[in-house]
Amino acid sequence: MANRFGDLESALHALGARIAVPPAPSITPAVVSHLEAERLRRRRPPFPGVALWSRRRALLVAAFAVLAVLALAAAARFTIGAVQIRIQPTPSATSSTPPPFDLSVLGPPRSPSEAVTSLPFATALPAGPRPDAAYIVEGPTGQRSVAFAWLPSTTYPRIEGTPWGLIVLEIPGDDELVLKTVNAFEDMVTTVVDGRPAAWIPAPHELQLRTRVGSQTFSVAGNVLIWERGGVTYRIETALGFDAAAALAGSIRG
Amino acid sequence: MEGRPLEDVDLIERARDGDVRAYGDLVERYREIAFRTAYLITRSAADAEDAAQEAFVKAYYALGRFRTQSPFRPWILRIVANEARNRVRSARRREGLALRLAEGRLSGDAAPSPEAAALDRERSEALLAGLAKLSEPDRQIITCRYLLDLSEAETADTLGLRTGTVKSRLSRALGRLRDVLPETLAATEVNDG
Repeated sequence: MANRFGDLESALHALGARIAVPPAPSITPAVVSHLEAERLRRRRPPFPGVALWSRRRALLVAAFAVLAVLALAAAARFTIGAVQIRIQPTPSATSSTPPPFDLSVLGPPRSPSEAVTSLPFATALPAGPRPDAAYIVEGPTGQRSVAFAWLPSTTYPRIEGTPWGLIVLEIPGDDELVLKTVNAFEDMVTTVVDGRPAAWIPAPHELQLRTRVGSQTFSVAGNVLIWERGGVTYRIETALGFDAAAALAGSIRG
Repeated sequence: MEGRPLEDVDLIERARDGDVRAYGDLVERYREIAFRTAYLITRSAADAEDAAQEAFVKAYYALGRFRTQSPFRPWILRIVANEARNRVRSARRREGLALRLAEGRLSGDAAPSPEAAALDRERSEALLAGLAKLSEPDRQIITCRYLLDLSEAETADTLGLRTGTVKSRLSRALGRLRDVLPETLAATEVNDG
């Protein structure tokens, strides 16, 4: 064949280097997040024929078991960093619904770059478009946190009841700044983000924000993913589903 | 002190133990060739991204069947190529999708004369047009062997064929390609060969 098609083969080899191929997209975070979430959902080893439960996985499962027992023992409370999640049925149909979570209660919006420089901790952002605004939150002890917000777009569809397409709240330390109340155990799914325990809340729920000037309660209609890494608690609010939220979470880097 | 990068086999063993981060390192190592393979088959960046991503997820769950004494690259490329081919089959219209040449010349190339560059570009365009006229199987075997520069053995692994079959199919595909090339280009190939 080399004799019959020698030049044609050479020309094809050269052609391979000349074809315009778009830059390879960064698919690694999406693959890893998908696998981490799926691993927890399946609750069985991915390789049934090979019983290879690593020490790390065994510890993770044990940690979840302990967390589950503690959550039940503490009257159905679950804490991730600075966020406490309480499971409590809605009191009655006559109770009033709190207003939607409105970032403007935190003060005037700032430019994200200005906000980042004024904070005492290293913030991190998901891959993709830059945020359109940032709000500084002062906790009860004066600890400063930040909420980054993105306007609705094709990438981030509008979150019901808000003018935003994506909200990322970053809280340093473990002072409880946020208390979430969901109606039932089924409204919250424990999962894993970046190898750390996380909570996915795909149902409407209440959010109590504890700031320096007091507590305010809001209703949240968007899907929420919460996890903690390196002493910072992250909370993503989005209209996107779990896979997309997990991929966003996995892409968050400083 | 930073250690040397882990070998594929070490990352695979860790991934089999449930270490998703180790698998992420493996994905990062092969995502470019995976995307390139998928793009040359689907001729669509969006389809190629989906195919590569789906292939890596499926490969993770198939790691138990991977033989660690074999190279990982052709194994993952086979899964990528399968995903890409599935997308080609399921897409209704692909007529508008075509490979095109990159602008400018390669960094390692010596600067050709304007006439030589124009002739070279003309030949490359003619080859691309010729490839577009081939059947999907012919195009895929030529893509793997020449455009992706895989060895015959890797081409066989990637397309799920025996090496002998790759040789015979390549020969027939090259013959058909020569038949659809413009007379001037085909004549040059025949005379040179």
